[in-house]
Amino acid sequence: MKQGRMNQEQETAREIIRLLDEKAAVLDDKIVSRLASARQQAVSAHAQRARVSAEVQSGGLLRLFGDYIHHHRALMSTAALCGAVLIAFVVTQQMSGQDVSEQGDAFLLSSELPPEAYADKGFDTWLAQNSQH
Amino acid sequence: MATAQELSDFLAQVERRAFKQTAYAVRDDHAALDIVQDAMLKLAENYGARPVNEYPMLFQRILQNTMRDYWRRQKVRNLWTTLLSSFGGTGEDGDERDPLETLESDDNDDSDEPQAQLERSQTIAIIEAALQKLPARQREAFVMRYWEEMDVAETAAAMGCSQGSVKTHCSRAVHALAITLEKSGLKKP
Repeated sequence: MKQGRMNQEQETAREIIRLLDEKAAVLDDKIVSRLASARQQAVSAHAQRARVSAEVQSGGLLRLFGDYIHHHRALMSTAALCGAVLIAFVVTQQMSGQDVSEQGDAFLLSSELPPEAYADKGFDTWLAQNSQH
Repeated sequence: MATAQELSDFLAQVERRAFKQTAYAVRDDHAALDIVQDAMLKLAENYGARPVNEYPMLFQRILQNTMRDYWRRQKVRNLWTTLLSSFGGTGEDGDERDPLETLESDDNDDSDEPQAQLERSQTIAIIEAALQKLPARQREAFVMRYWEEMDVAETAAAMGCSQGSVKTHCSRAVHALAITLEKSGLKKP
């Protein structure tokens, strides 16, 4: 019973679709040409996307950067020089900072007072008061 | 990845049905053409790399979403129109026209055709009008399932609902179309 109803339903649907297909086959020329133009645009977009994707996959990205560097040679040289100066400055700062901290450690270790005394804030006050006398 | 030729073939195969389907939904040929064009571009740009056998379902989904965007924009536009018209200025023809009322005049140029041909084109026109009147979900399900020949699972995936809902929508759509034909004094096709 249910199967029969379903079959009848599908039969009706098929007949309706057949009529709709007939109607869709005789569209106005303007509509047909507009649809063809839309299709062409979509296909062009797809082709362009595929081309870009293929270029990226075959090392096109590196070539892209290579071209950029070639066209901006002066800018790239200046940037490289600035980078070298910056690195030299940072390294120098690191080295000199290390000397200072080494000297500080040596002073603390060779002093008569224990290192804890220098961490005691009361010691500074006491030292200041005694030096005034 | 599908080639440009495969994409072109696919679009050529579905574009007319997509246009008619959209026109039934939005009842405006120009808007329908814009929507189909948008959907084609979205498919090419965002899903062009997918295998060609996924295109039917993806395209239907994109088309439905683009239609929904259109309806949202229309809703906002209608709201503003209503608000502005309430301040004065009466609309020329505010009442919505029943597509069935226009059928007779649309088919007048078939007067030279044989009687059978006229009846046939009237039947098609009535079916088209009835399709326009269907609830959106029923129309979507009917078109995808029977016109696009997608199976229940694909239709459900494209519509974002269960397979049971697809079957129900389809059944109601066919039933409603058959009743409309009978009411119009036409036999079921």
